[in-house]
Amino acid sequence: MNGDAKYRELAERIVEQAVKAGATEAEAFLQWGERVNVQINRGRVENLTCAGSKGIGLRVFVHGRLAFMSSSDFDEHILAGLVHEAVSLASEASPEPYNVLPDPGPAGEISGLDDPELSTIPLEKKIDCARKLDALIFEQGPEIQNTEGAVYSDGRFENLIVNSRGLAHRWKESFASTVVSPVAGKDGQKQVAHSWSSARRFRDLKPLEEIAAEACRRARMLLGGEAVPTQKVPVVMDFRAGATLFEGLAYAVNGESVYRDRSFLADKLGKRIGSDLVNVVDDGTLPGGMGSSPVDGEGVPTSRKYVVRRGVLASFLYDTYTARKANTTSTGNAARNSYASRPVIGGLNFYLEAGDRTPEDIISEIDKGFYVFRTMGGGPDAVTGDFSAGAAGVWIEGGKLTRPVAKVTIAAGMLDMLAGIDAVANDLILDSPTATPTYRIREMMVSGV
Amino acid sequence: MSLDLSKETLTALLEIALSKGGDFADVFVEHTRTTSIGLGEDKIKSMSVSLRQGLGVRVIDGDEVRLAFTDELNEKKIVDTARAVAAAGGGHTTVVGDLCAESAPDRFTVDVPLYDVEASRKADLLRRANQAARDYDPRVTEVGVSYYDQERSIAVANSEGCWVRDRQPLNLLAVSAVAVDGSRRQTGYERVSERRGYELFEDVQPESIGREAAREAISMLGAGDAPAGEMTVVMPRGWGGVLLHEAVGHGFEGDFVRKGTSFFADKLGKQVVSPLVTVVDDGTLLNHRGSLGVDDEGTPTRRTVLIENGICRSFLFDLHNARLMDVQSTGNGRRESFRHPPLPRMTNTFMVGGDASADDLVRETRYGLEVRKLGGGQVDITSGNFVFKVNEAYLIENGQTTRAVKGATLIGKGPEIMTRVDMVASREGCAAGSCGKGGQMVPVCVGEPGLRISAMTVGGTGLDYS
Repeated sequence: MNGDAKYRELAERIVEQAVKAGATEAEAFLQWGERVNVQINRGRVENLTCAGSKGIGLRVFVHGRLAFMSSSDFDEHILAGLVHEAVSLASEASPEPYNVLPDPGPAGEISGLDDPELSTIPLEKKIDCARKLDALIFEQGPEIQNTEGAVYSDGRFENLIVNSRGLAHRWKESFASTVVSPVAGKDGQKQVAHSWSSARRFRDLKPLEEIAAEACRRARMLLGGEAVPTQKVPVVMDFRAGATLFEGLAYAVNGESVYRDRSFLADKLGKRIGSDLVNVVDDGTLPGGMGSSPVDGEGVPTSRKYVVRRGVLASFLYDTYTARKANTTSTGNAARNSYASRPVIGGLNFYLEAGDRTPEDIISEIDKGFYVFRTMGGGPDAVTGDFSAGAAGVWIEGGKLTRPVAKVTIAAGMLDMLAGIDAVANDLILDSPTATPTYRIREMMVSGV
Repeated sequence: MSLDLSKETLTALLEIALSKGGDFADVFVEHTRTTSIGLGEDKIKSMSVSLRQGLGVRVIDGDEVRLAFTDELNEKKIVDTARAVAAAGGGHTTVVGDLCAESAPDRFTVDVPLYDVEASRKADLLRRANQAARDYDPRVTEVGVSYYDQERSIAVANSEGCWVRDRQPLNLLAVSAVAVDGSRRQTGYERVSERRGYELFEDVQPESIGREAAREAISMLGAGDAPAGEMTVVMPRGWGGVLLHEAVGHGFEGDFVRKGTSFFADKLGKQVVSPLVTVVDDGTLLNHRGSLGVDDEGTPTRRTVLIENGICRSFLFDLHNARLMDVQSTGNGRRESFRHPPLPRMTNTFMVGGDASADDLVRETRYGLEVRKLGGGQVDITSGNFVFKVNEAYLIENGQTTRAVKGATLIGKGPEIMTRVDMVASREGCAAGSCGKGGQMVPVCVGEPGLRISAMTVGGTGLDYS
């Protein structure tokens, strides 16, 4: 029997065992696959990891009481013991009428989520990929003096979800990614920067030259950054730095945060929360999307929807439980971080739609402002709606980039930030689950010396 | 089967791993069982049990490392895993030493083993914490409580003959309270976590954790906007250690030091910060969340002085980086699980007490910020720039704390900020946290006796109230 059939049988057996043990509903999620990780530092293989892994997660409901078990050990007796333990633990949980599993239904086909080529590319070629990237940064000018290394990693997985209502879905997925972290140095100053590319398929990774050049450009531009005097100015969030605000937004529109008083947007559905330029999409169906899958972590088909449309809050994100509680239907946003955790609500491909201007154009209009390349620590507080984070980037004067800035924070209310978005660029790259193009916020407090 | 791999099996695996050359090999076997409980909306939302077990094999060949792991402990799989790391190296041959079983130093006390306690009693802890938080003030509208207990057993064997096991219990109770007043909304958070038996919850009452989370949320409801700009900052005992962890600790980790990417890499023996500052990493402290009998490479943990009176004294090493720098491991090689490579990591990192009275820190400050609770932090090792989030803070005006302020982060360059430490209180204290590095989370403690920094950038949105 091949792995696929064996695991399908295992999932069905576990669900059946749970029901026999007293569960009124049960759901098994299995994930298995292979991973490769290569770290190169100055030409040497600093770490090479190749491994297969697998695991099972089981949710059981006993008359609305929830328990969960997970295991990386598929030994029949051990699993049977854990199933019984989970069913018996459920009696300690509180009964909730919303605790039900989804019914079976059809799932869409999403292309580009799995790359069979990853299993045929020789390991040497993958190692070479990191090796070349590591070497390329030292061709980018004399300021590049050191490196934190270059990494190539990939993985191919298969997911299987089966529940006691007869729902069953199976899908494959893969990822490949490269990252490089050059260190620029001058006059005793050191500055690291990172640039990366990730994709579902090997062939969709950005060219190594482009990644190396981008990382080194950032390291050089940030080198020797100093704090500026405390002041309020326009802030441009670069396409990599911009996601942090929207990660906070994703948390605030999470159906669970909403009903548990943990969202500053709890009472804002249908109301204006941002400028006309704020169009936020969550799309679990994007072909080749890093956050895409045909069904979510409960087996509900994923969807594409506007979360914010022309500045108006259009939708919250729901799983089966929160949707029933809010008297609506699941948006297919139950995410599985791993087999070892219960599904939790999250954005899939959650992004700010691109505008039609170039980042240069947006910067050129600023008399005095701050172009942020990266944020550090802190960030959005989705409960209070405050935003404060460390930031590094370049100061803008007379529409031009001038000197590097570091050791400052940027802060504002999140509603003020969303309302203050007055320009959105055309450089959106959908290569991470939360993504934005470069955008400008009319005013933020930059705190320095 | 789990951890009980025989001496013969372990020796065979090490021999296979080194069969094509290499300087060193080790086998790491882990068995971790976790029970967790979640409470929200006055209800026990979920009860969970999880099992993680597997084996990792590593070969070190000069500065190159190969790692493989498996979650199936049958003979075929573990042999395949050892074969996967055997690769043609520089032709160097290493003979596997005679494995000599040792027991790990005992750092934990367990009077009531975690698995002897019924789930219903554990669930009661959450209910009690929840009730206390809600009883604190009617404006507390929602309370989340999480609990877990974990027993992690590890066995490590290496080609130099080391063979050791350690059992690492861990438990945690954490409360997050939300308080709402009109359109104002605030949260408060408190937790307790130690490596010891269930008796922890007799010493630390769940009610006290619940009340503290509620108190923080309620006190911050009336907070104004945090000021923006540079000012004097008073850091709290215990949790204030996040500052050290970010500003100093990570820069002392052996991998960053060896690669020369850390600011501190070439500073050994030099005055790097204020002479009032002495910082220690100590993995031997009884029952502390960051303590271990042996690290995940089998090296007994120890006390390492990182900074003594402002002078850089020693770095934190795992076996691999220590070997390349020709020094000894300090027992800081840690891995999140058998699926992760060991890295040099902190354990319990704290500042040694000074001679100021805790009250004087505020009393002798004309204007500034008194931080009482901190959130998470982050550091850029290379530049030394770090940031952390402030959860609860008050303005200091003329030697008195006055109003609560919200939404601040603190930012600075580690060595610069630690040079500006001008008062250190006497009584030491630690707080439990988690540290992330290279995608791996490990339990740690941070600590500080309470200190004052003469000038630091506070990143709020508000005015300068001075």
